[in-house]
Amino acid sequence: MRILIYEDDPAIGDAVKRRLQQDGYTVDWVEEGVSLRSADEYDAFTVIILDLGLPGEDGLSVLKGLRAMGSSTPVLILTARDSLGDRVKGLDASADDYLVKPFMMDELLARVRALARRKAAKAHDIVRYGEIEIETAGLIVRKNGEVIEFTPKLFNLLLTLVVNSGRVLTRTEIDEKLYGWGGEAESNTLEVYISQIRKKLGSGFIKTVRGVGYMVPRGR
Amino acid sequence: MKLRCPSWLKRCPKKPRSIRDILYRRLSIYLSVGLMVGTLLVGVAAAQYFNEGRRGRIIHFAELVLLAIREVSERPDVLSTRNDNILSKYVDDISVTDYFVVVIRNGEVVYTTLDLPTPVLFDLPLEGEFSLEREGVIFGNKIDWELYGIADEELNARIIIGVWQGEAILGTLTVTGLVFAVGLIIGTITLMLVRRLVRQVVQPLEDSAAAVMRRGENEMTPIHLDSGLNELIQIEDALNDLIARLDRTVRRERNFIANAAHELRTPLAAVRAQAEAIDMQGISPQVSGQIDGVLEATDRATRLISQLLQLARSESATPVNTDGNSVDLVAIARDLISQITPEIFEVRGDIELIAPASARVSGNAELIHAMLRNLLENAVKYAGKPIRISVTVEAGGEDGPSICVEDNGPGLSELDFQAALVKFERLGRKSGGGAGLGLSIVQEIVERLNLRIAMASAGRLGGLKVTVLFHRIASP
Repeated sequence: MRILIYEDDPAIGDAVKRRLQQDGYTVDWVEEGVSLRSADEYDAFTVIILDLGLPGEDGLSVLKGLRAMGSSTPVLILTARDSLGDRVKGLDASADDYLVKPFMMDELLARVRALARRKAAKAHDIVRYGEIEIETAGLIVRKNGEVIEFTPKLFNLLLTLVVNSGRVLTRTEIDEKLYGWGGEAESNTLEVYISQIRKKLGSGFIKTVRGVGYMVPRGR
Repeated sequence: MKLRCPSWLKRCPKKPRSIRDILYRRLSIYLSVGLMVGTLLVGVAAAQYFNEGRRGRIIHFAELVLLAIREVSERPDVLSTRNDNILSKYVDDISVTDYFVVVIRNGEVVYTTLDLPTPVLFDLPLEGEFSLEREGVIFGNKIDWELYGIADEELNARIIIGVWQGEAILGTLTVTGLVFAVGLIIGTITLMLVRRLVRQVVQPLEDSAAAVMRRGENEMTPIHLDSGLNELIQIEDALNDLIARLDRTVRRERNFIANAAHELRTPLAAVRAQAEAIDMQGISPQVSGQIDGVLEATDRATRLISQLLQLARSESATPVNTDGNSVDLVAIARDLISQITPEIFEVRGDIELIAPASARVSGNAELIHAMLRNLLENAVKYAGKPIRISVTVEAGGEDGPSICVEDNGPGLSELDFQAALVKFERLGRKSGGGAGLGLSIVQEIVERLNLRIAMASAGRLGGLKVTVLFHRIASP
């Protein structure tokens, strides 16, 4: 899996690059804001880690450029700008995640993994989460190599939760992401589905954040 | 907690008067005084003129009568035939008589229009007044005449003409009334014209004030008053100059904060990243402990910088959103809880949100976000093990919307809590990586937004329970 890093600080860039390489990623590190030529060039990467304050082209403009070209490669913004407004601006420019510096390396790696899963899900590849393997093309779920039966609705919910692992998804977000899947806002359909997944994959697989939503913890 | 002065304690400032009011009031006073004085002067002058004119006419008339008598004195027969009472012939009641004529010649009344005994007529003076008591006349029970008379010794004749005094008064009143009415009409028209004029002058001023008032708190674009008036264009230019200068200052301050954040965070991130990128295999436990020390120190510095920046931001931010939109407390709470939940779950803790679908309040979203974030971080830091945190949002009953953050830590005494609200207090607890600024930031924002904060110890979870009360959104 290839990762593209935009980072002008040599110490940060170097450290992130080395840690990602230790985890088996191939890393390309760019020290200034330069856009790639085409969506295909971006799509060659699994995840893009993007600093906002770059010499040359600004990070946000690189992001807007790559989205305008039609690339859907997950982008993680890694920046020192921590205000709510900056975060909203970044996510509005269709960044997939936003991490503020200084950051914990483990957190960065977990988020990169989550984004890699998202990319895999979009590309209909196999999404791996711990001992779970989700074959998006064939709607097949395996736990420790053993196939577990999932209805399409349940499968989509599981996939949504897994590709957003480490993030709490509110009921509204789940409804939006699974548009038309039949989970009525007032009904307890969602609760029923969640409990079904728990039965199949273990009670601790999905955490409930009371009053907020559901979350699959960050996977290894 | 911020105490607010009750309204009756505040010294009531004198209400400023408006140009419109001043102009209207002054003009009304001037016009009424002018009208009164004018009417009075005209009334006096009219009475004077009226009396003089009447006197002249009557004397002239008396002279004509005298001339006529002289003319007919050669023919005594003519006069003798007129020696009767004209009035009794044509009019029954002399009370309506405006005037009378009495002609006396050679010791006898040769002509009279007044039905009175001869001795009375004889005693009438040439000048002065003469009263006659009668029932049922206007102005009391008597009639007052003013007498005008001339005597001719050659003819041995006296002509006395009496004029009803009421006539002079009525005449004067009529003229005065007419003048007053005309003055009133002119005054009213003038006032209406002035009203128009004042509106033409004051309206642009009021429109300009409204245009300035309508602007958002942080709106720094130039104002357009859309006026062709030179004075207003000058005000517009002055305002725009001021706005431009303010804008530059605010931008400079904001940029400084943003730059400071970036400049301080980046090297910290570098230290942390480098320390974490060290391959731990084959490293002695001592060095590994030292690396942990470095990481912990960067954590502390990170938190301190973040809090200092939040403090700086909360001091320079405006209390309400620049777009004037309200803020949903529930959405902010959800967002923040989503962000810290992974960290809490990692240490097998739990957090919950008890909230309605939404609870809208007015205020700067960034400030409210920062405040709640600090309340939550504070709760995480001082909660027990395992962490239990409960956030309650209420859309607002009697007291307006509120948000409450509760933990299962050891709690705080009211005294310690008040001390923690002051900058840089560390709550006497050295554990954790914080600099104890969290509650100071909360307090700073509470003051900026004019909110109320209250604490309770040993709540449902047994630890500190902090409640922030918001204002209800004023209905538009």
